[in-house]
Amino acid sequence: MALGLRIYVVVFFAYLFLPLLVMAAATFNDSRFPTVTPWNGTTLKWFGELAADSRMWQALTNSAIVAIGVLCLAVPIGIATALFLNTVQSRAKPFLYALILSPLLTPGVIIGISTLIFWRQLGVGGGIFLTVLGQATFIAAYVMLMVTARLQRFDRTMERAALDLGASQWQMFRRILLPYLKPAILSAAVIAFLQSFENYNTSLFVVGYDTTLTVYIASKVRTGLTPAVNALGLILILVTVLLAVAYEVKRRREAVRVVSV
Amino acid sequence: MEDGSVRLEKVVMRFGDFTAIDTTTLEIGSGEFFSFLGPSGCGKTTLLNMISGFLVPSEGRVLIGGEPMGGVSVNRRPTAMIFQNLALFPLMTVFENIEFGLEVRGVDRKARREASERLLALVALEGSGPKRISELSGGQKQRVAIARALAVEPRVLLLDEPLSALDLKLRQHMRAELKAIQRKTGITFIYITHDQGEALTMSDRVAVMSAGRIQQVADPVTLYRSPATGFVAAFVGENNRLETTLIERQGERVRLDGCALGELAGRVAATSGLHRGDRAALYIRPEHLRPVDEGESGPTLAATLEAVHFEGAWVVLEARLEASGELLRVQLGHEISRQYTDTLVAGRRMIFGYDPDDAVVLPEDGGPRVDEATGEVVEAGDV
Repeated sequence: MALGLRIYVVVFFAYLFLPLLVMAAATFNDSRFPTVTPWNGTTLKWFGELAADSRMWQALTNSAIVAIGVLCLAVPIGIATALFLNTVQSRAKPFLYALILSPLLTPGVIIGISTLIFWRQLGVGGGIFLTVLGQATFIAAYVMLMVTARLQRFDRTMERAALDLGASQWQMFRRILLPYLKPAILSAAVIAFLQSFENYNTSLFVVGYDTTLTVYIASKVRTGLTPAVNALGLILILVTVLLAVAYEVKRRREAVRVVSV
Repeated sequence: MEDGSVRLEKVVMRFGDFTAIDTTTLEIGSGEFFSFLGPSGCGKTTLLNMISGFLVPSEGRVLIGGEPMGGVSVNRRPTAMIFQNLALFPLMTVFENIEFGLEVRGVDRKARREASERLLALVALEGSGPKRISELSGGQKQRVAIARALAVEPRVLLLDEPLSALDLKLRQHMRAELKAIQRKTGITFIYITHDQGEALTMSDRVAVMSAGRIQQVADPVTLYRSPATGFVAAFVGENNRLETTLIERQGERVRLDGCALGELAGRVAATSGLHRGDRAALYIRPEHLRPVDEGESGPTLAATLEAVHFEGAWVVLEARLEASGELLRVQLGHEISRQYTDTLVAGRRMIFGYDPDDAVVLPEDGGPRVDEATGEVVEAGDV
């Protein structure tokens, strides 16, 4: 590997991970503020403080409820949209495609504000319900993109063969198409969950009193940040890395099984 | 046995301005092995899709077992298709593939398994049921596709060039096997192919198609011996085509003026509308020409050898006709070519003769003769 490329890779990973390392280190600093300088001594007390923060736990619960709600709403909508767009042959197709993708291109703030304004007219105020709706508008577009990518590689003669053998459209979908799409749907579900969990700018306007985790952390910035937030960040990072590693191990085992067959 | 006859009544298929199938009427008997033979783009797959229900004809109707199929969707027709790429379900086992059609019909697990075991035995794949599709060889996949289609007990089995992906040896083996399965089951087989070898060896009858029209429907021997149109003569087997004018006709025998080639002779169909003075094309197959001595009675063609291709069981000669400059292809069997072993060289002058019974004479620009009222092809010898 050329020296320039090596340096580039080192700098690139430093850029990615140094802030995380600093953040993680600050968790263990016995300081009132999240910082590594000066180092006032090593402590685990911020984990205890975090565990005792009941508002944080409530926010975490809210985030999880919202994320599951978004998952349940955005995944079916995304699949249905992908299937629909796949069958559309008319000239309106690029237009429909752009229409469905537009929430992805719209700033999250605007989605949040417009969701709030629209539902206010109908007498619905901010809260978990609106947060789910607001986030699902653009997360469904992610799901659609991922399902479409796999759907485009689907051999349509499978569909014809299933129908020819007597299957109804529904039976064909359930027995042939859905198993084929399964990997893409699972990935889309994970992405949808994470997208929802980490969302801030749309949620900010529609959460009402049901503060989500991101909104809660942001509010702490104003009221005074303690290393307890770093402790939370560290736990989230570790959980994410563990899940990613577990997924990769499972995937490799399956790959080995397919090859050995 | 249920009635597996298929009838196309004045069927037309148009895609926009393009007519894929021109008015076609055809009857396929129950239990028949029937092939559609033609080059790609001739409309044979379109016909198959109309029978299976994937396409609805623009005009006319399709009947299966005497019942009109209008409004009967793909999944309710008594047909099953074997696709060109087989379209086996890759995420399912062999068992699940074969049982799919029964599963969607609500047949219980035990009966399904019995049926698939029986079919696996029929296609000589006992014990392969639990395997994944990716574990099978090309020929085995072929058999699973056949078993899967037969599982739904179709009255008509539609085969869309199913052997085209196999190598030559396997293809020839599968021909025999398909024919055997057809005999054993008594199901109507409708077979699509551009490979005349497949069509001729397996079929009871063959429909030769070109540009959305059926050119001729006949049994393989008739198709080969008595092509009804210039297209069939050129497409099925090989033929030398010579342009002539008809001098005299006596029943099926005709004398022809080959212009510079002198007087020639050939055979016309009893129903042929050719008369004295008409322009006519004479078709002689390479294997029907043989070297003769100068002065031999009967029609002869003098030519100069240009190339000699040794093909093992036979020798193919390319010879330039002295009188007209046209290229003549001659195929000599082992026995004859041996007599000339050392003297078959380019530049040698040879005289070829043939039996007029082997030479077919057709109108010069003859297409298929179609009855305008019914859309049916009028076959030689029909009237």
